[in-house]
Amino acid sequence: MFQRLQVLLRENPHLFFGLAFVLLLLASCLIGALYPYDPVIARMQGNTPLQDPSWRFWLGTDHSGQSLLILLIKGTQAFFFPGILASFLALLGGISLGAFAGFYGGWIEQIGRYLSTLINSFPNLILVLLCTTVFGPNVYLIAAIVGITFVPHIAEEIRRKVAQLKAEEFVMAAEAHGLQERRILFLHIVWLHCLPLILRQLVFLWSALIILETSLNYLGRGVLQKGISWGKMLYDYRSGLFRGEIWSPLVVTLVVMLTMSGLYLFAEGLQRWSQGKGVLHQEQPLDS
Amino acid sequence: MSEQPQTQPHSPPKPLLEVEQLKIHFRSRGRLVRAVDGVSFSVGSGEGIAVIGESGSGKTLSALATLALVGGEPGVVSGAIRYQDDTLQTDLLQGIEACFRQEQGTYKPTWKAEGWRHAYRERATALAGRKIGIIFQNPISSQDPLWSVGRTLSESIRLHNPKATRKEASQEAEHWLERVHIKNPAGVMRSYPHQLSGGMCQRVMIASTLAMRPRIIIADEPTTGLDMTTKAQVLYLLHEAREKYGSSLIFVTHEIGLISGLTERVLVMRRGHVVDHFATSDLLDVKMRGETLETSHEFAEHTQDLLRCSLALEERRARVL
Repeated sequence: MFQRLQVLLRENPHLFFGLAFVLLLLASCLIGALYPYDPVIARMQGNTPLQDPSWRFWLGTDHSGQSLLILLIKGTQAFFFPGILASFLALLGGISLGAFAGFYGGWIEQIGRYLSTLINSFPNLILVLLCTTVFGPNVYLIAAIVGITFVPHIAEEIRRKVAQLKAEEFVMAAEAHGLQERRILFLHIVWLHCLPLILRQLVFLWSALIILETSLNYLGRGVLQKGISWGKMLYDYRSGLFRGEIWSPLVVTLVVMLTMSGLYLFAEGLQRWSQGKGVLHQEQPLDS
Repeated sequence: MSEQPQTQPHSPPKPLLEVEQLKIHFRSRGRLVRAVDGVSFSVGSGEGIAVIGESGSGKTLSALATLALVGGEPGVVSGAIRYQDDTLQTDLLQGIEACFRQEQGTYKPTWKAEGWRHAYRERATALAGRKIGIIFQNPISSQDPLWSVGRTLSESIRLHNPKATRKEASQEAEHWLERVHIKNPAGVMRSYPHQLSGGMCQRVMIASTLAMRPRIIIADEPTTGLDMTTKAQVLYLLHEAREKYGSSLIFVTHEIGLISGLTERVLVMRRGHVVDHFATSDLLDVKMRGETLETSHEFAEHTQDLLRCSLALEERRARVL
């Protein structure tokens, strides 16, 4: 196990650090979901506001005396479950559209392309703002919109890959062995060959969702009037900025930035991993 | 077909697969290519036939059409492909007449063609593997690069016998690897196609085809790119498959020297037509004297050319060695 990690660190540092970060993020999402925390009670405990980092409060406290670290961890909840919903929708639409369009072509591809253009022609943020105005703020609605706007991206990536693989000889050989077309398409082509690609797109989806959630809450169109989220934290701390209380907003901004970079590192690592997979066992090229 | 011989050397006992007047056309840069233009042949139970011809003569396409593996537009446009054994009887190209409109020798697909192609493919999938098995030219690229040899083999075994558990299937897969004379079956099971040599891979492909016990094996130039010893091994395996399991064999090749001992009849193809048809034993007494062929059998002109080339090559090889 340890040796494998060492190999991973040497061969693909992007994936190593990206994976570490994603695991950390997932862990804090889980802790956030399980850890009981009530901001009202926490405020009544009367901790000194605006403390510096200490052993008790690792990242210090904010203007209401709550621990920043706990707030940040609890804040992940705001996008965790909606993120799962968004991923599910995007995968369902993207994989079925992309796989069928790539494999069969013809009118299925035409319809898919038309749908993609339709979805792509709406700016993301405006669409979300419109929907929250019409249907009222609901975090799952936003997640659904993000999921659907990602369908064309995933479908296009998968379509290209499937169309390319369809011409490969092993697909023909599998057909000649009497495998059902669906099995070849979904087991061999999509599951085995498109998995890194799908994971990569999911990472982009999560980062888009986090950014969107944060900016929405910051704009005050937020969906969480009572709950905790990173965007809401930024919204709460912005008045403090003019009084020189820069520590808490700085920490939140840094965490958002770090999360984005971590996710992109992971995506980059996955890309390199899937590209290098075919040549991993071959001889290393000679360096001159 | 004026070019087609009217008499057959000996009529097969009971045709398992019959191909009649098969036509495969393609559109290529606005021009119509008649890749296969009225090819007929039949294979009896346990019989071996060889299809020889230069590259581009349509021999591979005719073989692929029996499993609906021909891509491109408009593809298979006319003819009949019938398969029949004691349990299954099917006409693959059933209803093709209604799908293509004939206009001055060209075939235009009608609106029915799309649905018909689907039915054609469905019927072929029922045959594929269990009734007709194909061994392809490039053994390495005809296996999923991300699956180990063991998984590929187990998959075909479980397709043939769905009740087998994963473990039983992999045990049987190992058996089949032994049967195609692979020395370290357990190790090969775990390796990936690109880690094996071409000959090894071809043997694995033969194993996965044989594991499904097909009635007919189509070998599409299975020895291309292999060295002489591996070539001999592959031919021996095909021979063994016929002896042991009683499969019929359609051996598609451009090397006329490989077919003796493996097949009973030979079809010679050129530019989408069958131009000659004779018993393999007719080849036995063919000799070259100077520039002329000496035989007891009357071969078609194109066959004579092929024989001359092959014999000249052999002579040169003999001089080098």
